[in-house]
Amino acid sequence: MSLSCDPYLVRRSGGDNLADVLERVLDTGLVVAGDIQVNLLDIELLTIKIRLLICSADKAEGLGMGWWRHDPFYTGRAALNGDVAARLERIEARLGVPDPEPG
Amino acid sequence: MSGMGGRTAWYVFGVTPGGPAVPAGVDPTPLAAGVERLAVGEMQAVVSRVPLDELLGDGPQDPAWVLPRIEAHDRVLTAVAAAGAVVPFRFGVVYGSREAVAEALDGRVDALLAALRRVGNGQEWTLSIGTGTGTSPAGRRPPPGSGAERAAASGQGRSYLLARGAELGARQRLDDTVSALRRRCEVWNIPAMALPPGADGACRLACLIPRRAAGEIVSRLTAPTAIDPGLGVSVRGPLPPYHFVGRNPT
Repeated sequence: MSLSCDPYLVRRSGGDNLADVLERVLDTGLVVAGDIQVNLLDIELLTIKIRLLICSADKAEGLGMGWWRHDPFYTGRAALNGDVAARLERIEARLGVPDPEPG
Repeated sequence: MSGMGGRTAWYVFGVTPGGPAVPAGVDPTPLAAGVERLAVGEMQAVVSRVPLDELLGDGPQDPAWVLPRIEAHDRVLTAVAAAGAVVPFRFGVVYGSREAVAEALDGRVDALLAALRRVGNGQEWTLSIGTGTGTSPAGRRPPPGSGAERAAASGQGRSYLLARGAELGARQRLDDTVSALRRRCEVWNIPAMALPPGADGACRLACLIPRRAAGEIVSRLTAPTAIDPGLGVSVRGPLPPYHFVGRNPT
């Protein structure tokens, strides 16, 4: 259902992307155990498997889910910092600055 | 869904406080062929007959089998939630018989009624607020392709700092806007919770909004006076109150 649409505000209830649906259905909602021990009971393993599927390299971009690849919060030190460190090392080497002593 | 010639099991989507029949046009395929209600004390369970042999096979281990069924689960609950109060269950609750459903839920009736009271007649709406420039959730480093990233790559220090400053400013406006929205929800006694950032880095807020006033409240929450003009907002709803039912009723 589309309630309204303008350049500033978009409202919608349909057309969710798969990642949104997965988050809602697998991560939220009341947890109740059924009495049939089907494979579905192993829901955590299934969830992981599905997440691996949608996060695979060829799927993530299509789903718009690749942002964490570039975020230093999730990837450790930023590439920029690495570049800066390398440049600093080169400059110090040219200037003959000795390496700092351990400790 | 394949044929129902074999053994049948019962899939439970959630419980409602009773009320009208399942809304017309609810489509549970391929998870099931149809949706029914099953009386459980004062409540009604929203259930479907599902082929047990299919569930016991290899399908549930295959994402290609599971994904459309997950979408069907969400579709059914969204339709039920649009019609009235519902406590949505997580995907994959299956019982061997109608009697087993009734017995299991009857044993949890206090917790289920408490969950129904918690969600009341509220509908979940999700507000996503973003800068539209792929804001990084951590706000520490410019995203690839951004002005700051390009400036950094070309070694233009001043350009980098200016672009980075602009991006951090946008991030600050985003945080301020979300904080203001949360305060507004608090004042209006609307339960709200922050969700993990969206795929595009947008801040997301789930709100449990009274059904009778949902349109007005959503409009006021997202009015231009409430949102920084440089930010974009998308609103998703009404959804089942997935984030507001609590966790395990046992």
